[in-house]
Amino acid sequence: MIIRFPFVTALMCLSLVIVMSPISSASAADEVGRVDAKTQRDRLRSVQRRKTRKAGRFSLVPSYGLTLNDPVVTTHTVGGSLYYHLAEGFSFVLGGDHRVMQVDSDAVHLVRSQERWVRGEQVLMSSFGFGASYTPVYGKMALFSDVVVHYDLFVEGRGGLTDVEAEFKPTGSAALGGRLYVNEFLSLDVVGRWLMFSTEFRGVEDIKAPLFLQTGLAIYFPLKNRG
Amino acid sequence: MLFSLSLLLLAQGFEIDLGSGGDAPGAQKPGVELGKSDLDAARADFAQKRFGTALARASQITAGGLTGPVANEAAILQGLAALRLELPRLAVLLVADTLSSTAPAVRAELLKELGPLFESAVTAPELARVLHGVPPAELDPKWRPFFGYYAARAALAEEVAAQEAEQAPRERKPAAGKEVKEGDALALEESGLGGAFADQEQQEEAAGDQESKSAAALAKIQAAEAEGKRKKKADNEGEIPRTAKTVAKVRSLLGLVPRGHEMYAKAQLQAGLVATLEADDESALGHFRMANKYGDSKVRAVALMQMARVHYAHGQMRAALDYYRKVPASSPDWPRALFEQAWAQFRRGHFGRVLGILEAFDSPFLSDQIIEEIEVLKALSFYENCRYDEAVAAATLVLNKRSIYDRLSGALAEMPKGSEWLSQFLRRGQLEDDVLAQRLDQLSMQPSIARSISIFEGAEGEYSRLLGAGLQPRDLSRLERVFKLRFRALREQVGLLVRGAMLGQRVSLANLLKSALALKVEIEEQRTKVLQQELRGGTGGVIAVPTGDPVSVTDDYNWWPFEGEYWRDELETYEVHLGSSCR
Repeated sequence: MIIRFPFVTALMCLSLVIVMSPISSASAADEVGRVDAKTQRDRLRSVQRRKTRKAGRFSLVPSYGLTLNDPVVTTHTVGGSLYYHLAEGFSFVLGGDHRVMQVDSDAVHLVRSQERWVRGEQVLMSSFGFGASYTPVYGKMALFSDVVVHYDLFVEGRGGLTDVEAEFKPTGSAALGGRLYVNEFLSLDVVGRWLMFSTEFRGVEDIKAPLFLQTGLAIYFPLKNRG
Repeated sequence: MLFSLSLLLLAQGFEIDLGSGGDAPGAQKPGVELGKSDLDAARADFAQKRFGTALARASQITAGGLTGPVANEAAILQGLAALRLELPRLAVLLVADTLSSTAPAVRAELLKELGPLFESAVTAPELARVLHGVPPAELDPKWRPFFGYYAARAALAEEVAAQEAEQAPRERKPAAGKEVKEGDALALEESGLGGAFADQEQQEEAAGDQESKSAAALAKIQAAEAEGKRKKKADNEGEIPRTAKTVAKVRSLLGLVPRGHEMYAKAQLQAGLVATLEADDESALGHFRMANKYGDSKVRAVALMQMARVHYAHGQMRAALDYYRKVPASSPDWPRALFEQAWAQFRRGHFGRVLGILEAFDSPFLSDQIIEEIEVLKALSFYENCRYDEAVAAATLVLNKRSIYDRLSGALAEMPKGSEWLSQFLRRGQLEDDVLAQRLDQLSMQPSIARSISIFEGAEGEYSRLLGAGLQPRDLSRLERVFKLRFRALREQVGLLVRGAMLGQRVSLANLLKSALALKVEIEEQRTKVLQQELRGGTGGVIAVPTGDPVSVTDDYNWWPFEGEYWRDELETYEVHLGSSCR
């Protein structure tokens, strides 16, 4: 066996010995019956039932969205998502959005007036997809030292189609969102969602990735918590 | 259940009785039909709208010691004049002694004018008491339901107070449940246990070593409890007819409150209490459900507490806990509901939850609550888990309250008069005595005391207004003559309420000290067993062993670690994972 860096190897071995030593002695102590004070102490905690229990319920989220990452054209959408919450932290989702308005910046008007022949770029008309959502973070915060609001953060992935001027393009989307729970059947949802689909403009294929900020009020069905 | 009744009645108000003041001028003097000319003059003043003068003249008649129809008419005229002068509390005060004995035709006008006082929750209870003996048919139909409710409440309160006074203290059964309770104060005082406790320490000192001290304490407690049982048994025999009579009367009064009336939910609460008085818990639950259904948030909270207590009394802890949890945190009953939840959890054997709930009382949100039994429950919970050191520490904390007990005893001995206590209460903010100041502050949160003080202050305020109304000096001196006596009696009555409440606290403290002492003795005995077992090399049984990590929670629950900060929404949800236990 050829050791290329004998000095480094020796140093690593030494470190390992130093690091392992206290652990080894602690284990030995446990083996002879010493009780760890940490495990024997009394621990106070608050065990709280979730205000809005989602498992086994549906939620419908009508939403409004607008693009954030296009400095030239802002697209406004309305849409909705239907979730089925398999567990508190996991759900399936079916949803879509439709363009209701497009606001061009002055730069677009200028270019169009100067370059009359310029054809407008293909615009997104609607998109829909099916996916799953996972909620890894749950927390609460106190507002004005009085109201305690429960929230969670979720990630979501969807696959679906996007209608780009009557052409349906396969689309993937990823989202990061948060819910502020109002009561047992309402939450305020805010989601940042990337759509990814391909377009073709003047014969050039391009990948579009508009980022939408969507807000909506989720209504949970049945309206009462289970259990 | 009687305890629950007492608590409820205290919470909703057991006001001063304006009609029972023994100092009413002329009440005991022989009746003489004099003063007719004065009455005519007063009537003439009244007719000419000189209400102040009419009041003063009429007062002179009653203050002069007259009884009989003329005096009654004068009293009615006083009431009418006071009402015209917009002095409703004084009006009630003035007619308190004579209204029920006055002829229906004479009092008819006054009754008509007094009716609107039922609309105020402050004046209504006193008015209902004053109307004691007046047939409801004489009242305007609009006010009958109010009269029915308030009169029923007053009658029920009197019955419960009478029963409390007759009953011996509850017995304590360690490790079996909710034995240590507050209340039953006067009874304990009367039974001599308060004094017995005071002598206990001396007897123990005389007894010598620790073992004999404990034996002496136990013997004393057992003797006291036996005495209490004996008294209770003896008193129960004579109690039934009176209780049945009260129940019938209260029911007939509550019958005046029709369904849909604004007092209906409150009347249902009273009906529920009557049912519990008769030990008919099924009916009681029915009435409390109705109160919960039709009442406002305040009534609902009381109804929920009562339903919880009924279930608790039947050992149905899960149902009791369900109701306790429904009491909203905004309700003044909530801290009590939380504490009673701890007892219910104790009965279920969920000691981690018990200790967790009790932890909430250390939070700033509940720091103003004086619930003496907290440390006893803590001690019992640790003891049940073979955590003897902590149990002893908690019991010692209770025993440290001895100084408070001594101070209360001293103050009660120093100030036998009600008026002295009223003056202490009114200037509680400036008292140098922290114990008294804190206890009186706590009393001020009791609705019954607060309402009685407010009645007294309101009446005094009205009297000041009357004196400043530009009356003739002669009229003023007449009025002063009447009201000086009235207010003296009133001050004494209100003060006696304060004193009674303090006496209650002292006796409940005595009970608690005895329980803590008995518990400490029991723990020491148990410790001896532990030592014996350890000497034999045994483990388990009465020795606590490590319990490992806390059990994880299900998906729909969250657990938040406690890191020194109390969250308002978590107070009801704390639990202690006991690192070592014998369970």
